[in-house]
Amino acid sequence: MSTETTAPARAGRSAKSLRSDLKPVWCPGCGDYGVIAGLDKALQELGYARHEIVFVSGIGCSSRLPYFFDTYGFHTIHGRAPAVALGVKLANPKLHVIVVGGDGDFFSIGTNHMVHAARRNLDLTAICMDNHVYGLTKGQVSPTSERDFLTGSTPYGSVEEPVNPLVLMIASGATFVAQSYAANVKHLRETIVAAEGHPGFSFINVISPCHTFNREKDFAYYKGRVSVTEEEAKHDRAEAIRVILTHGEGELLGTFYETRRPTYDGSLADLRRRARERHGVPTLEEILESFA
Amino acid sequence: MKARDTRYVCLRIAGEGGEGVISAGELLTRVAARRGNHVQTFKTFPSEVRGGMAVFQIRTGPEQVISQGDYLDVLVAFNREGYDRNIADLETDGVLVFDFEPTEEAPVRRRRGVDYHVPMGELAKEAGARFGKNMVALGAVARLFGFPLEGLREGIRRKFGKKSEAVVTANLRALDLGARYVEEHLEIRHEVRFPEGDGNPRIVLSGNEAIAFGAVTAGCRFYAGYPITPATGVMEWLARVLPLLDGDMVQAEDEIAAICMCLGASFAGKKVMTATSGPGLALMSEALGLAAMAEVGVVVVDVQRAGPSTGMPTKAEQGDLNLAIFGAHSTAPRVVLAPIDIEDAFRQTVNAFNIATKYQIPVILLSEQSLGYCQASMPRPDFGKIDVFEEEYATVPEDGGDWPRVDEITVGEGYPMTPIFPRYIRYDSGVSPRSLPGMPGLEYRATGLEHDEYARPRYDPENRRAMTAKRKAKYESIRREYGGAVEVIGYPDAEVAVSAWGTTASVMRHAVLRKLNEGARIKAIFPKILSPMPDAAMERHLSGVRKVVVCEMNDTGQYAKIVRHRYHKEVQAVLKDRGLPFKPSEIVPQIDAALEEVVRI
Repeated sequence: MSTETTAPARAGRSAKSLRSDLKPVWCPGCGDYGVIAGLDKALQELGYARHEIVFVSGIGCSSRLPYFFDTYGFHTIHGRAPAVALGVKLANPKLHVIVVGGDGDFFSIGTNHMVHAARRNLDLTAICMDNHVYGLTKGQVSPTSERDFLTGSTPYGSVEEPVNPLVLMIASGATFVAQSYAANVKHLRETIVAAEGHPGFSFINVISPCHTFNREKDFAYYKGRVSVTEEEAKHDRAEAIRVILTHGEGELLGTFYETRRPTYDGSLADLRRRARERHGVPTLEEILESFA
Repeated sequence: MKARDTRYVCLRIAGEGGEGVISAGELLTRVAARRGNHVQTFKTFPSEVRGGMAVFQIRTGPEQVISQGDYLDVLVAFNREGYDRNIADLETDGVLVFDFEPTEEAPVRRRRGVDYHVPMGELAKEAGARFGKNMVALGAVARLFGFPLEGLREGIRRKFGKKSEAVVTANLRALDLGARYVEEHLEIRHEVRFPEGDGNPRIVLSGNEAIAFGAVTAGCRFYAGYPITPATGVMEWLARVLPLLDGDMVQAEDEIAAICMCLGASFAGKKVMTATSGPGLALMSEALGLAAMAEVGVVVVDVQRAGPSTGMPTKAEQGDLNLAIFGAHSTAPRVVLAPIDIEDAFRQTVNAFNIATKYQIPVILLSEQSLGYCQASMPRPDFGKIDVFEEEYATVPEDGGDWPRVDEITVGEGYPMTPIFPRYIRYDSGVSPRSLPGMPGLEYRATGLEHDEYARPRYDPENRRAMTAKRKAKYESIRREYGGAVEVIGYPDAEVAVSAWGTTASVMRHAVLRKLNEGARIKAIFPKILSPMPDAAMERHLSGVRKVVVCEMNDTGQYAKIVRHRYHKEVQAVLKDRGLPFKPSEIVPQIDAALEEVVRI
C-alpha cells in the first residue's frame, strides 16, 4: 500500500484526514458520525492513499457515507452495493474496497448479495451501520428490529423475528465476523484495522443508534448494556455462533469468527493463470479458427 | 413466377429431444462450411432437457444465406411425430427420409415428391451406437444428396475424439451403415443435391457466439450473467475464453447482481457486458437507471424469447423493444441496437461497446432466440479494419493549474468550492472525461443521486435542469454520429416501403429482393440503431412514401407504432406472434397488397 498521493492539498482539514468538505446530512446525534470517525482514524492508521480506497454503498442514511470521504466512491442502488463492489474489486484487485450500508440495505433488499459475497469470500470489508430501523424513509420496521417494535409501518407492533446479522454472515461463509459500537470509536477503529488486515470477506456489524426513529434503542439505552467480549475469535463456525447466541442480556462487541480460506479474487487470478498455462493466450485470429 | 431458388437446399431434421437431432445438424453445418458452403441454420427444441420435439434446419447455397426460405427441400423424420408435425413445410415435390412404419390408418401419403424409408434406429443398434440414430441419418443424407462422407468422418473424429476411441468407432460405423443402406436398398429418384462448396473454408458462428466473440474483439474483459434460455450460450463461451485473455466471467446470484457487478467493473475501468432474456432485462431496469445517472457504460444483451413471464423460453419473439427503449424510470438515456443476422451480431456488438465506452451510457443489444441459436457462415473479419474505441481518461491539471471549466453551475450554500475533480463537467457532447479508482488526484463519488458537476448530491432546480440536459445531450451526439445508420434497398422514389428490425429485417430482405426481381417499385428501410432513432435518414427515406409495411414478431406492433407515430406514416403492421420467425412467403403477399392499394388510391 502506498501513502503517497499527488492530490492537491485540501484547505481546512487535518493533513491526514481522508474526509471531504461535504458535511454529513445526518441528524445530530446519529451513530453514523461515530462510524465516520472510526473509519477515518482506521484508514489513517492503515496508511491507505485516498485514491486507492473505494467506498461502495447502497441506499439509506448510512449509505450516504461515501460523499464524506475524499476517496473514490460509488453510491449505488438499494441493496446492491456488494454486487457493485465485486465488480470494482475484480476489475482492480489492488483497490481497498469497503462496502457500507445499513441493516435494511444489507439484510432486507440486499440479503442475497451479502450471502453470496460472504460465500465467495471476496476480499473486502463490509460495514453495517445497524440501527434496527429504516431512517431515510422516516421510521419503518427493519429486518433487525425486535418483535413488537412500533413504527409507521407496524402501528400495532412488528410480528416478525429479527435476523441476526452476525450469525447469518458466519453461516454464509464470511471469514471475519465482528461487532462494534458507534460510541466506542477506539474499538471500532481497531476492528476496522483488523478487518482490513484480514484477507477475505470481513463483516462488521456496528450498532449505530438512531435516536430520531428508534427511541427505544438510542445511546442512552445502550449505556451499560454493551460489553467487549473477552473471548478470542473462534475458528470454528459452530463455536462462534454459540458464543453469539448464548450471550445473555445486552450487546457483545468483539471479533467472533476468523478463518482463512482462498479469496474470490485470489482464486480467480489462480484460475486465469492455470487456464493460460494449459491453453495459452490466444490471439483474436486464433479464437476465430475455433469457429472453422 | 417460381419463387424457389434451386441453387439453395433447405433440409430439416425432426425427432424426439435427446435423439441427437441438434448435434447431427450442427455437425452437418460445420462440415458444409468447411468445404466452402454458405450456411444458415435454425433450431428449436423443447425447454425440457429430454423429450418433446427437436428440430434442426440448415439452408445452404452458393451465396450468403439471408433467410430460411419458405419450404423444405428435404425432411428427415426420426419418428412419426416428426413427420406429422413437419410434413406441411415440405415442398410438394420435396424429399422425405423417414424412420417409422406407416400404417393403414396413418399412411405416408404424398401426391408428388419422393419418400425413402431408412431404418435408422435399427441400423444404429446394429452399429453398436446406442445414440447413433442421428449418425445413421447423416450417412444416409450424405449418400442421398451428394455430400462427401469423408468430411463427416473427420467431423465425427473431431467431435467425439475427446470422449473415447470406442465412441468414435461406433459413430463412424453408424454413419457408414446409413450410407451403405442407401447404396444397397434405395433407388435414387430425386434431383435435389447439396451445392458444391467453393473450397474456401468458412467460419460458422451462432448468434450467441457472434456476440460473445464481438465482445472480446471490442475489448470486453469482464462479464457477469445469470443462466437464462436462450442467452446462456454467451456466458458459457465467455467462461472459456475470458480467463485466457486475463478477464473474468462471474456467474452472479441473479440478474440484478449481474448488471451491478458489471457497473462496478466498468466504474473501475473494464469494458463489461451481461446477457439475459426478457425477464432478466426487466430485473435490470433499476440498475440501467443507475448506469445512466452515474454515467457508467455497460452492454446489456437481451436474447429475446417468447414471453411474457416464462412464456415459451425456447421460442422466438421480438417482444422486448418497448422495454428496451422505454422501460426506464425517468429520463435515463440508453442506446438500443438490434442485429439483423450473424455477421451483424458480431459487428453490432463491437459497435455497442464503442458507444457504451465513448458515451458512458448503457447500450442494450436486442438479439433473438432465432438469432442466438441460429448458426451461419460469415466472412472472416479483418481485425485491422475494425474500429475499437479506447477511452482517454482525465488527468490532473499540470503545474497546479485549475480544472478546465465550462459554464460553471452556480455553487449554492453548503457547497464549498474546492479544487476537486469535476467528474461530470458539462461539455456540449454531454460526455465528461472520467478517472478510474486508483488514479491519484482524481477522486470522485459516482452516484445515482442527482448531483452537480463535482459529483456532489444536489436537488436544486437549476442544477437538475442542467444535469438532465447534460445526460440527454449524449443522445444528440449519438444521433449526430449515427444519423445515417439506415440500410436501404430498392427504388428511392418508391411509394411503398417495407421496414423491420432484428432478424425479421433479414427475412424481409429476402422477400424484397424477390419482389425487386419481379420489377416491383418498392424499397426497404432498416434502421441500424433503434434508440435514438436515426431520424434524419429515416425521414429522408420515408419522404414520398405513402405506405409502410412493417413486419415484426410480436402481437402489438411495437416497432410499427414507432414508425407510425414518429414519422406520421400510414403503416400496415404485419404481426406474427406464434413463437416462430417469418417466412419470405408470408411477407410477399403483404407487399403485394400494399402495392395494389397504393395504386388504387
